[in-house]
Amino acid sequence: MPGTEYILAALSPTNILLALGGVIAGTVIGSLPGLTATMAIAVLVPITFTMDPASALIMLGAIYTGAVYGGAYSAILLNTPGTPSAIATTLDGYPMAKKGDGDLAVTLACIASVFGGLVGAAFLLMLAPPLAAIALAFGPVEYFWLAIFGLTLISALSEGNLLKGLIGGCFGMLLACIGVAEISADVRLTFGSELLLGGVEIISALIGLYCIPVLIDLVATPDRHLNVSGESRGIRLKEALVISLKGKWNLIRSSVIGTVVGILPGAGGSIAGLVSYTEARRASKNSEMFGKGAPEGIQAAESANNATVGGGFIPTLVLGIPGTPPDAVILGALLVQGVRVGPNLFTAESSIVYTFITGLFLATVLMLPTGLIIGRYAYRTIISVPKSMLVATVAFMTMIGTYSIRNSVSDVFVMIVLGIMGWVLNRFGFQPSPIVLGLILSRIAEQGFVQSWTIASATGGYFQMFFGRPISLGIIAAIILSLFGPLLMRRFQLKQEMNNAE
Amino acid sequence: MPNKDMGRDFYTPLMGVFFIAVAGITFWDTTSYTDPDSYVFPRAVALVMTGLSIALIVQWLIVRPKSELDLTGANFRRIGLVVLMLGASLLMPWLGFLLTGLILFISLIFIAMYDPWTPARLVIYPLIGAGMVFGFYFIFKNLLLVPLPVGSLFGG
Repeated sequence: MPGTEYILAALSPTNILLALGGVIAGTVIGSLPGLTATMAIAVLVPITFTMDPASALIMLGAIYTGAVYGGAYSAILLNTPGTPSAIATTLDGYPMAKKGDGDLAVTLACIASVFGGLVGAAFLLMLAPPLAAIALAFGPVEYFWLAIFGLTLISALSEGNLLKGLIGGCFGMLLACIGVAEISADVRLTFGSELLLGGVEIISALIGLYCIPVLIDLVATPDRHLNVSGESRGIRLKEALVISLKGKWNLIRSSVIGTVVGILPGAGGSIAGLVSYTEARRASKNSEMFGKGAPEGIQAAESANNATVGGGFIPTLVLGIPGTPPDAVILGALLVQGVRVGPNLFTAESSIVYTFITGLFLATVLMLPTGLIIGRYAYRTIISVPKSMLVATVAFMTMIGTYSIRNSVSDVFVMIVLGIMGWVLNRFGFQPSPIVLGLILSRIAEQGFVQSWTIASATGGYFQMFFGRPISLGIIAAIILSLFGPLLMRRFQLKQEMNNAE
Repeated sequence: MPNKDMGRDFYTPLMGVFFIAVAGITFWDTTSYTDPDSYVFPRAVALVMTGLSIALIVQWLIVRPKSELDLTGANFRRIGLVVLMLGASLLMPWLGFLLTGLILFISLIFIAMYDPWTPARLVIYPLIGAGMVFGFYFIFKNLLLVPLPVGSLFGG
């Protein structure tokens, strides 16, 4: 546990400035569709090479935490997740903004992000080594089942039609198979087209599926993009604090889920947000309001995705296995600094680790004022820009953002085609979220499935491999509960209503 | 152009057939892979998708829902936006990022414009558009070090 010396070291003027600068830079970059937390860190990482390791880590952690939160702006105000972590934020953030409560939604997101970030950092401080050991118990088959569990969350995202949601999820998984196979290098589903050889890039697919349909509908009517009340209501902090206090259990549950998901290597903020969103919906008394602008939805998604920051650092620092993609970049930066991560880090390099964790707390707290100020400007800008300028700017940003991911014009073309496809599918009741979820989970699911399949082929025990391990069985039970739980609950409620009527 | 279809939903079974076809094409494509590691997963997903699509059609036969297809709004503007964006992505390798961006931005302003055009707007909007394109070009090229395409017509 940190002593006063680490706290004082983290609170040096230089570190405070670095944390502040990192949060602001991360928030701004994260708010631009196409620019992810990973990219924000990758772009700014060279600046840290000349710093001492603790200061470098503080700045990188601040950029990371800011970028994860920044993704909420465009998710709420444009229905386009600025980063994949903000996918679940769009589900209630945008409907809330459309109803005229975009300002409140942004403030709620900020409070939830700060809360989640603090919980994640607290877990990192207190429970890093034992929690990392749990992550090590996950083998390929557990990752496969975990991905399938993620897919079953589609039931909460497909607005009533589970079958359409699951089909969308499968479609997303097949989209992710396009291109050169990671494991065996076979060229899959390209049909001879060079354009598809690079595969479907997840971020560009996300931009296409979420943003292009909004643009297509935005351009078709003269209505305002978002409803706005006549008078300025400021940042509505008091209102947001009251709602946050009412939803404290939701915030706590979502933050813990976010931390745990962050610990699992490769899972990340998007899955954390979706899992927490589903759980919040399941636990809520107003579950029918989810997807129509429920504040609890934003709280769950934003607290969970920011909790993954602290959670993701646990396997990164203790085991040297990056918990989330941005952690991989930070791990690289640490190696450049000469810091040897691993189980001994917390004892051999305790000054670096504990100064960094204190710095992470500091950066998360600084996110509250900076996030509220930047959020207010983002909201005011979006509502005051004329529609024609907004459409042109967002369309242009989607193109440059997509191009910049892999410097590929093909990605831009694929992004637009996917957007058109998303608009058409949406018209027939196929929501974009299950497709995106399928795309994201496909890599984890395929790796786990193929590795387990190969091991089972060698040992001859397919059933034992897929259904014989205790953690797997636990996840399978969760899958069954997730798929059939809502149906059984509905039947039970109907039966009770009928009994009451009699 | 209001067009909210409230008749019988004939689209759901068509979508079911579409996804069965996608699964079939996937399955056919996997027959050309050399390594079992490449085909085991897409085949499994295609199989599950086929089952779910059949279940969707059966569900439609039982429930017989009404169509809620909503195509209200100016479809020519929708098509214009999509054509402009696709066109820009195809032209970018030839014209370069800057020129394509300028053409796209200014064209989109005209496509999405519902307010009456005044002389001031005719001057200010394209100027702001040009400023945005140059601004983003500068940020991405010089600060974020993204190698934006110069365009083969300009020696790129």
